[in-house]
Amino acid sequence: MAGTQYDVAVIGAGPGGYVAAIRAAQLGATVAIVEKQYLGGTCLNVGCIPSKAMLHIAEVMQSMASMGELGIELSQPPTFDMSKAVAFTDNVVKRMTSGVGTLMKGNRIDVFDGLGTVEASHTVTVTKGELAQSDGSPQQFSADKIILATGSVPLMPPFPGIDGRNVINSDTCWHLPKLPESLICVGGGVIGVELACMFNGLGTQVTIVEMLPTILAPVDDEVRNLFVRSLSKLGITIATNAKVESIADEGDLKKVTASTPQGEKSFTGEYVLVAVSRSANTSGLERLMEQGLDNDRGRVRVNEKMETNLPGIYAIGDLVHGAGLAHVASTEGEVAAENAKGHEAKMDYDVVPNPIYTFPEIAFVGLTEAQAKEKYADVRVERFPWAANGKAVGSGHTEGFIKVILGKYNEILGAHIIGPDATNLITEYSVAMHNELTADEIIATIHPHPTLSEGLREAVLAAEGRPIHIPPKQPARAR
Amino acid sequence: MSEVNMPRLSDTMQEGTVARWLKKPGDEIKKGDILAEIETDKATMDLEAYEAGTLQQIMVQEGETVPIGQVVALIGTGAAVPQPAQPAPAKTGADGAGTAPVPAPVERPPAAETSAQSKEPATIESGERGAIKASPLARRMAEEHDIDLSRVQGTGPGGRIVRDDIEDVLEQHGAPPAAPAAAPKPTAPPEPVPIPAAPPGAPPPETEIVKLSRVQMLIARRLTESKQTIPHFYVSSEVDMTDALALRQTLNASAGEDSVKVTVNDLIVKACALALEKFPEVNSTIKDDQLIKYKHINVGIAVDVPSGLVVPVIRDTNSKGVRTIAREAKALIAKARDNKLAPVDLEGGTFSVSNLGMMDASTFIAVINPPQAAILAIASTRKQFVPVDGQPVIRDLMAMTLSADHRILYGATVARFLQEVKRLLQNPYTLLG
Repeated sequence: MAGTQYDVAVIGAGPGGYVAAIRAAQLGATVAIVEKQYLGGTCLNVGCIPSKAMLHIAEVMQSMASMGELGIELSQPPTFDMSKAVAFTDNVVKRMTSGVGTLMKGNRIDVFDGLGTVEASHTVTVTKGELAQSDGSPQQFSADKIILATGSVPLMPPFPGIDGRNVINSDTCWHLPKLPESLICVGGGVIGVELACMFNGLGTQVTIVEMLPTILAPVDDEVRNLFVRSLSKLGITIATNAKVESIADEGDLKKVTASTPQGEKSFTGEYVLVAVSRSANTSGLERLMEQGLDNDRGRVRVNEKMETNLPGIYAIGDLVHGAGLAHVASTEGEVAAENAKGHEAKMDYDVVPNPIYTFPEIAFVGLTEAQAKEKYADVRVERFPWAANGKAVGSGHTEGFIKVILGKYNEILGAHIIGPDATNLITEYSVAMHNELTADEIIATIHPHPTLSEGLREAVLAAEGRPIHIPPKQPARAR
Repeated sequence: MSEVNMPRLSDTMQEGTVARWLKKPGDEIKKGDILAEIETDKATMDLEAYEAGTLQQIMVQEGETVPIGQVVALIGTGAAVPQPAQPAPAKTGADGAGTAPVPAPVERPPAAETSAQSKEPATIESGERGAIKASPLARRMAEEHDIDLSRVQGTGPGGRIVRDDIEDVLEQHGAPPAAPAAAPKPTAPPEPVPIPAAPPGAPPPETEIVKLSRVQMLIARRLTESKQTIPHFYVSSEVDMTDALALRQTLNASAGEDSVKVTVNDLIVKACALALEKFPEVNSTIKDDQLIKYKHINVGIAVDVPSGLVVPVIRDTNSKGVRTIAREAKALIAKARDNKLAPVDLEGGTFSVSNLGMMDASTFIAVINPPQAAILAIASTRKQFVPVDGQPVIRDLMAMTLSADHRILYGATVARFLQEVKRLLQNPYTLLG
């Protein structure tokens, strides 16, 4: 393979990289993709996909609690076998990653196993990773255009004791020998609360320790307030304003010590899950950095075409920013691939949906109420509760609401959903916002009954002051 | 059958000229094939095929200029390739064996002339009023502000009018565009250029003939247009750069080994950007009977490249620090020299700086880079004796000349602007604020 020349090389086969590779191949490029660990990256192997499989199991477990009122009696209490649950998620992961392999083949993309080291001269050297059979000799090829998509890794801050036993993170929490009795989750961001809900749903006693005054800082205040109440109903303990100082052993358990405005506090549990943040993964990019690749503490700087400061080298995904969203990385991958093939594409971050997989689910797009009120003088906000939607009540999901923020021209400035299937439902609002549809077009669209999607229209009607299925709060706006 | 449209190849592109067809009717087309070269206001770019098939028909001939979105060719299944409306231009060899009476360029059909000359803003034909593509939000905003959508140029997918377009209109006019003013355009069409004294006949034997590249022809055309249509006037000033040079040394000494060095030009660019904040009329353009003041200050820097001259742009120059300007300028210059500039790098300039300081130029006057209103030309900095308290003191003096568009700028404004640039450069710490 030495001396092979490709049109486009992609470094990293996560949801950004493999999508970029496919898009480049669709545009007629010869494409190589280099992956040091596993096709599908964090998302498919230790992120989005296994967590959704495990969350599904947790959801089934949770639903058992309310079976009695549905007339279903279990003759004996359900038991849970962690090793079978792990096997189930492994299977899901295997299916999805082998799917990526098939996609690479189908698009005639050459896959290189190993760590790709990139030079500004556009040569890529692939050294075999531990997982691959090694014959020792590195492979080398060059490419016209290079797309860096090396992603991110869980950040493990230098707390004393962070490298001790039973300290896990979002990469290493998938193969525990048994379900932990109790777990201290350090970090109340999206990853932290998702994993907290997952373990809690499976039966673990969970405590979230967050340094900031709130968990889920980017979420709309009203949504967060309800969510925090839901978590406590589920039995999850939350400590905010608590800055972790150390992790230590206490007998068989772990002790996390944190400083708070009220003085030092400590939390004990069987495991400590560290989910504070993720940092850019720059392994293989050391040479490029020496050769002047513009970056801010590892995060590579790019323009709206995803171009770095080095000619012909693009960067996408978590390597570029902290969004940590696979769908953003994928879109950036498409933009980078199109530009690499000489088309004109620009990344537009105005409408990025944010799904959060918790119990209940949260999803939002656009501005929060506070942001909207700061930015615009003329803002209308209204909610529609799931308790007023037939499909939601019928399936026992009455908690939560849809909240819509409209602007002066009836445009949707932001939409926030907490409750059943929020993560799927948000797409209607994303489509509307991206295409500049206003409240009027959503209202004019017939929504099928009985569905959760009716609630989306009702929320907009409510913001217009004319909801059908809840009593009006404000006088209808003259139309 | 699918249509190939004149693509939008840059943000400011309104129309494009088909420079050369690389495929002819009947040719098999693969996705990604280059169909033609398109000349825009910025550069020459490739028109790529997004569909596979057979090139059915060429609708726009070489040399013709059409607005973006117009159909330039049809790609079909190849079932029936109609005879091209006119024969594909014969590729006579440039060194013309035989007696080709007409040189290379193909005659333009008369229709092309009219469309190329009608410089009215590209409006949608009134017959299509009902079919204006606009987002619901754009429609609603237009309704609110009484904007006639048929007079708005859409920049969304497929030329759809979107929020940004309406915001642009609101920003530019402050008020809705009224009915087009009936007043004649302030600028008369350029007089025909008198024929040069000695029309070149057959080239004398001892010359080398180099054909101009597309880019060079583009530069030639734009600069001719600039000098012929813009009434230039010039104001010069001398700046004491002693302190600025010292500051630059301090900055670069305190910076790390690997950080980008700040150049004198970066300081000048920053000074201009700050001065433009105070003199928005210099950061403006003239369009028909309107003076349009830009909200953004994007300073372009003239860079000489093998193919001629390019002016990449540093965006929002006024809000960037000197080091950021230095880093971006260095990257842009490197891209320019490698011929790697993207259209976006060349777009949106509101003022330009051209610097021949390093080439021992004692005076230098530049031609305005349209549609901008002014350009600052920098000559060399020289050590000169200056009387200070009656004593001769050696100072570093730099000559600069601003070329300005007299239709919208007048002597006093320009002189005050230059004074401000001078004040900033002579008090260089103000550039770091």
